[in-house]
Amino acid sequence: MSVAAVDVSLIATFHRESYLAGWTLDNLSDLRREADAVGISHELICMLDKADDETAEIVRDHVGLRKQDQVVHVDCGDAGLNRNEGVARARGEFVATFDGDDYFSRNWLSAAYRVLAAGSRARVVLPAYLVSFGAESHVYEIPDQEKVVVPEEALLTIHPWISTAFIAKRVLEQWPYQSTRVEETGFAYEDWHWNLEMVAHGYKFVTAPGTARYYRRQADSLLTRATKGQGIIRPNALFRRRPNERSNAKPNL
Amino acid sequence: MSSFSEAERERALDRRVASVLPERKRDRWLQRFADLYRELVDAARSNDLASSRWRFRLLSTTWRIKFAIMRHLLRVHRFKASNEEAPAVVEPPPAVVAPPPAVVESHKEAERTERLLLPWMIEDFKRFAGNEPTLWPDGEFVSRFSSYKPYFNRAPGQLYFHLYSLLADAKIETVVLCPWLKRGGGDKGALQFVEYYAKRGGVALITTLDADSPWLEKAYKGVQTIEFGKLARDLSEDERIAILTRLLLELAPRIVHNMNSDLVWRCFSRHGKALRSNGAKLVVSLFGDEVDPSGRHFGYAITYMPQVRNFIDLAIFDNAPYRDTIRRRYRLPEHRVRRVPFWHETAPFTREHASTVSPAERASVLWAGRLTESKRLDILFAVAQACRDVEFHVFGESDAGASVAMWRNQLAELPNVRLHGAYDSFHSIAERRSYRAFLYTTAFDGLPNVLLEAACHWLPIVAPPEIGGLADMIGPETAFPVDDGADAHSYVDALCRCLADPTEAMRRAQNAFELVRDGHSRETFNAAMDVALVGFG
Repeated sequence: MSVAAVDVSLIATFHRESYLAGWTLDNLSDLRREADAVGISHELICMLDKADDETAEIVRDHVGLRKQDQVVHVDCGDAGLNRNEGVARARGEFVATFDGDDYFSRNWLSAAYRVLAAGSRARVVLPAYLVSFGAESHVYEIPDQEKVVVPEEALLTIHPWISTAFIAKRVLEQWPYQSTRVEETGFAYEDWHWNLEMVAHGYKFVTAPGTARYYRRQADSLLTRATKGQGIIRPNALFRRRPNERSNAKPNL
Repeated sequence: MSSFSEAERERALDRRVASVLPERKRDRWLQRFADLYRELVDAARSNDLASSRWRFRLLSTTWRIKFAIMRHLLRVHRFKASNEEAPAVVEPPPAVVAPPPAVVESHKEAERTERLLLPWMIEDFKRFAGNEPTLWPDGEFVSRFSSYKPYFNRAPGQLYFHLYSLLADAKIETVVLCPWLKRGGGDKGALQFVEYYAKRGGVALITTLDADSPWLEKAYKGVQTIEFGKLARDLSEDERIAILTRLLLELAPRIVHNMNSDLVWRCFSRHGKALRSNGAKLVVSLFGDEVDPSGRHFGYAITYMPQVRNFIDLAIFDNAPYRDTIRRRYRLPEHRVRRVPFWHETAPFTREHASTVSPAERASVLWAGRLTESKRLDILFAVAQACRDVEFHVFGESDAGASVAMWRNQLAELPNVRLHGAYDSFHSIAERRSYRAFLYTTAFDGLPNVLLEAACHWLPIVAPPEIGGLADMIGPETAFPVDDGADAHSYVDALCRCLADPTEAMRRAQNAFELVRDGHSRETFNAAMDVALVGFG
């Protein structure tokens, strides 16, 4: 078994965020300093997916970038495929994913690392709260499957988790994201799909106490576009299970 | 002083509500507030919360208390219940949980909402404000936040998993969906499609309305039948669409064929692209536009084709005129619009079924169909009034409605009209006496099954060819065409020509019989389907 070069690979995706990308990178620098303080080694991989020149320049020139970090130009045009590209370049034992215009509480990396390192790798760690701001302002306590029951039947009509996660890299290698390209295929919500695949294969979604993702709600977000485009998640292993197959799945780690 | 946690606050509210809400009233209140909740969700979905009615409710203290009780009931009692009867809603609109900012006027209210953001979140926002000063967490900023709590509604998922487990092992290659299966021409056609598909692979036949389907038992052997409309009667339309679409995605049939189900048209509108990306060919059956009294056309094609035109692989018609109309209207290529005439059993009928009445006897004319406004009862009345020496036998169930009742009464007053009411089969009424003609009046139609029945019974037909798909059957060699379907005089002329020359009438009746025998056989139906599905794999 190969030994990871760093503990955590931060994979951040950028498109056309412009100056917001700079703010997010400032926030990531805060997270990284906190991780440094507790001895967690890490790298940052900035995925510029069809990014405009201005965003690319802001990312490339950010003062928080370190020597081992990577800035990668890709032409995926798809959130899932873009993340897979990032994972392929990651050298960490764990991967933490980020979007290019959000914020996280600065203890996120250290808290998530503590949760995952202390127990089974067959878990996906999420922040304890999703705090939406901007076009809408909500506080949402993300359900932790080790504390509350999330009925599998409810997952047909509701997605209780989020797209950014902290997880063992080998899990993402085993279960890569699927492409969506809603305009072409009618499929959307790669995160909802991936999360359900995880549930189907026996993984648990847990939260790191005292952490939050601060999610910028814009009037024309990807989510809004998916809704306008009448997107739906791809066929999914969870929905192809019979009653007697439920809750018996064991992750193959 | 430490602030209450969210959970503590909720528990305090629960205790308060429980203390004022007697156990015996709880179920009734639960139902009442579940209804109110559903109304609220609908209002939120249709962006109606800004209307004066909802603004009043959201601002009113009484209504705020009602919302609090509703939230409590739904969360505490319904969530902890056995889940079988969870209310059919997806998720609460944020506006329910906290009032809009304009409502937060009192100091007390501001304190209440501020606690939604935990102290460390406030500190995080202060840090973010270094770059983004608009995020400084002052009173106004924090008062914008509401708590979002997902509602884990299990009912749609439970039904989905139930249906999936019924069908998963059946190797379903085709799913045929229709609103119901009752006695009727379209329903007969649905069964014919089902038989065709079932001889080539596994078929699921799904009815989508909450209505009885007595003809489901006629479905071809081995076909999986599901009365989805009944099973999903308590679910919202969004939930029904979510279940159906998911079922179609996970079963991944080769063909999905919609026979007049409005729900499935909506399903195609929303998710047709995804269903096709998943490998399904989408097929729809179309029969004809409907026309309102002002002349405006409406119907499934008009409502949905603009949205689904690019997702539909094949539209099947039972008549050529409507096929040509739709092809022209939506600029569809020939291979995506096909005429597949339903088959009709002609073997039991022979020339002996033809009228043997001599011209000297008083002529009897048959009119059969549902008595509706669209059947132009006004024209039937005018024709009967003009032909007093002819006896008109009118069969069929009456629709409710003042207009139908009025014309029914008018017809009943004519001495030469006999109103017989509902009938079991065309054969049973055709055998009663020797009719000299079959009169068909209508404002619009496809190719009605009753015309095929009349032709099988060797009845000379009087009908307007320019309406709907009637031209497929009605011509100068097969019937007595009415020149203007909206004009009673044209009907009278055609009927008089028919009654005046029994020999010619019999010749045309024979031609019509042969047209049905040759053009509406099982073999022609199968051959037409084979051609229509070329390229479907």
